[in-house]
Amino acid sequence: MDSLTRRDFIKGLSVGTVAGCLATMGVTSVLFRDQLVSPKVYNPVDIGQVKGVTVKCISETSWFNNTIQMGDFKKAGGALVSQYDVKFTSTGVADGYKGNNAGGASHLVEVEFMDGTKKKILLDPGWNTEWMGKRFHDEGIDRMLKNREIDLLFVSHDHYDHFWAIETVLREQPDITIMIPNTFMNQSYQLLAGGQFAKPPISNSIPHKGKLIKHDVGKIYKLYPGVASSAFGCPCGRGVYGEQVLIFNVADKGIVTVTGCCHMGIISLLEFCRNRVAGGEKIYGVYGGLHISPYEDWDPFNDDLVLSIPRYNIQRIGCNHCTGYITVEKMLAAKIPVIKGSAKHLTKRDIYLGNGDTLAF
Amino acid sequence: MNEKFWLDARRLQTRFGVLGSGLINLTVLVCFFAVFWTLVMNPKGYLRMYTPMYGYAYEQWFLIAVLLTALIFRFWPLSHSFMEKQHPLIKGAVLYGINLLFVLFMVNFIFRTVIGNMGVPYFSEDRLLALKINPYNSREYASQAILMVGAMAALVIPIWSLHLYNWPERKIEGGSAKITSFLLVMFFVFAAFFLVLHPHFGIIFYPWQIYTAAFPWWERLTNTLSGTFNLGWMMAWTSAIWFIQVTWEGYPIKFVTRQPYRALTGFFFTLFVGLIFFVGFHFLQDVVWGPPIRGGKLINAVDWRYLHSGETAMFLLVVALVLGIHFNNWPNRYATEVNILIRTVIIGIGTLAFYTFYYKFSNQLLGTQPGYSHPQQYPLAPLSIFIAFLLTHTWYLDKWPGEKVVRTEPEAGT
Repeated sequence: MDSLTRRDFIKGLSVGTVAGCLATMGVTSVLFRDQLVSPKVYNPVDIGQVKGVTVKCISETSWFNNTIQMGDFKKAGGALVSQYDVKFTSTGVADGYKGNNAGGASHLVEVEFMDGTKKKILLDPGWNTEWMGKRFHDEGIDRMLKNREIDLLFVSHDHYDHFWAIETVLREQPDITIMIPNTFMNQSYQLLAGGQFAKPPISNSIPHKGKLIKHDVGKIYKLYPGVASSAFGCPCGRGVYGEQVLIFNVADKGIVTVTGCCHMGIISLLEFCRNRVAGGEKIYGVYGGLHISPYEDWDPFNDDLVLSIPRYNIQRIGCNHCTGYITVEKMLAAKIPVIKGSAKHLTKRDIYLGNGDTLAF
Repeated sequence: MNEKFWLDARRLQTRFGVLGSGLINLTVLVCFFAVFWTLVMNPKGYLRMYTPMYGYAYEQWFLIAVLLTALIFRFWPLSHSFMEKQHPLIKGAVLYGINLLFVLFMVNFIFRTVIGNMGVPYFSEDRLLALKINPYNSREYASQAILMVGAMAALVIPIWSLHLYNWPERKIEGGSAKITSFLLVMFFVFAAFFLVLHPHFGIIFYPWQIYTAAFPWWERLTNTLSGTFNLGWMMAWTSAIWFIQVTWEGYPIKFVTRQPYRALTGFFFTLFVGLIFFVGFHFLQDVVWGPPIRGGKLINAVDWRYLHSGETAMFLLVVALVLGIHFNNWPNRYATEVNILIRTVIIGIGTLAFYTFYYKFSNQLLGTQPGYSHPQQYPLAPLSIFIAFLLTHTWYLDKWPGEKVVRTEPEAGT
């Protein structure tokens, strides 16, 4: 037997190490994936129960003409340009509100507690102050704010169509308690404090004087018995990062989620509820924007999403806004229980809940 | 085969030692990239072409132009003496000019005008607009399709050059050989695109275009309808081809030189290593973020995890190319096997460091969105143009200013 030289030994060792590492990585990751990547174990949070939740859609029409809206983004430089750096079309839109393409997203949530008492939460103020002012007046929101009937303004995230009409709320109740995800853009804080931005254009002349509650990403906050919120660290586009959602545990029914846009993804949200909220294995209802085809655009990963919804056995889906008409048509084809609307107040189709429609869970 | 290939003929020498020249060259390259990104791509910059797909498609085809120039056309029709005698900056300007013309020809004429108008509408922004797709998505869909053809080209070109020896270059003389090679490459590029990505575009429109594109055949295997699965493994394969060629100095494939065995060995071995990258990086994501969920979004999305495996392989490739090009593939002093082992370890650590740095600072430096996953953001947009600049730095600019050409071998037959 020949003696082994140091050089040969090192050669063999090095080649063997590289080949062995690569082979081990490959084999391990393929064959032992399930053993190595075990599901995380959570301690679900008991948020209590409510008797019922009713959501009224004040406005789901964030913009009225999709082609003009997408043209604005195209001119500004695409999907990654900051929303405060986009010039939005605000005049001459035939199917807009008084020629303005801007609308807004806002919903009134009414919670009935187990003892029969009720509280109201305003989810998002919307975008165009003129349009939102009209819708607030139509639905009595302005009066409720003035009479302090609304307990708090819950801002899902600071996207233009959900937050920029903050003045509409503050002119009725400048000291309202506001809850935001702790991920606001600096400009959004400026707008809240009374600022203006020439390019979009957007302004707020009434600084917020009330309590501002910031929710950290990843935590569950119990707002009332049976009502919780959680903020997600998700990129939302146009410079916005993070969105928070409302979660309700409705007695004898199950979990209900209410979202502004659901940028974290509805499946991710449902999985979060299953893992982190006591009773989350039974999802009863979903309400709000689901951010699937907001611009009537599409991608095959959205088909993955639509095809995955039935496995959660949701009883009532009250989606609208950024869910998109294409998505709802595909959902209906997949026999997903989407609640129809009435196509009033500039909502174009009755395929989902529109402006002025109400859904009770 | 009557001319010594310029890149094989030239001999480069560092001006300030390997480390000094490497650092100077890397600094120059990063500055050039920063200027380009700020002016052309940055969403907070001037032209704002990172929409994301619009500018990314042009970037990808610039990379393809560079690969074609050096690997398929071998600088043809520029002469050996031009490459030898001209200052690197002049050569760079001429070749960049040629490449930009090629990019405009392919993207604006071949894809958007010819193919888009006369064959497949999703390659043409104007055609999609006419079909009532909104203005933004018309441009994005068309750009995405053009970009994805480019992704196929980035894979086929190095295989053709490194493992098929630019067939049939040895059988045909001069420019005809280059053009034949180019046409064959493009044939396989389009064949690959229509097999692995056309079905993706078939269901990107509503309703599904079931009569013109096959239903995504990979769904059962991958648990997603998205074609990004195919992009992921093919990007990992592309990365593996270059990693083996540069870091491993072509071993062990270079032991096989006779055709067709070389082509078969090169094809399957690089594919094997590419799949190890792909599966390995996918596994690491599972460890860090947990298993993906079908229908989940962002980091939970099944399709994004596949894509990100390929993206991570490209982070690795950037580190491997920087080490190989700017630092003379350090180390070289030990036995080849030991050198390769040390380099592999350096690149592994370097990839982790670069990946971490990118996701911590790219938001501020590149004007992109924070977070790992975003449905409209791709780290490959900056990475692919950086790789293109890296390759042109060595192929066109002779690694100026850190290095210089000190000797060239004469052209064969002169």
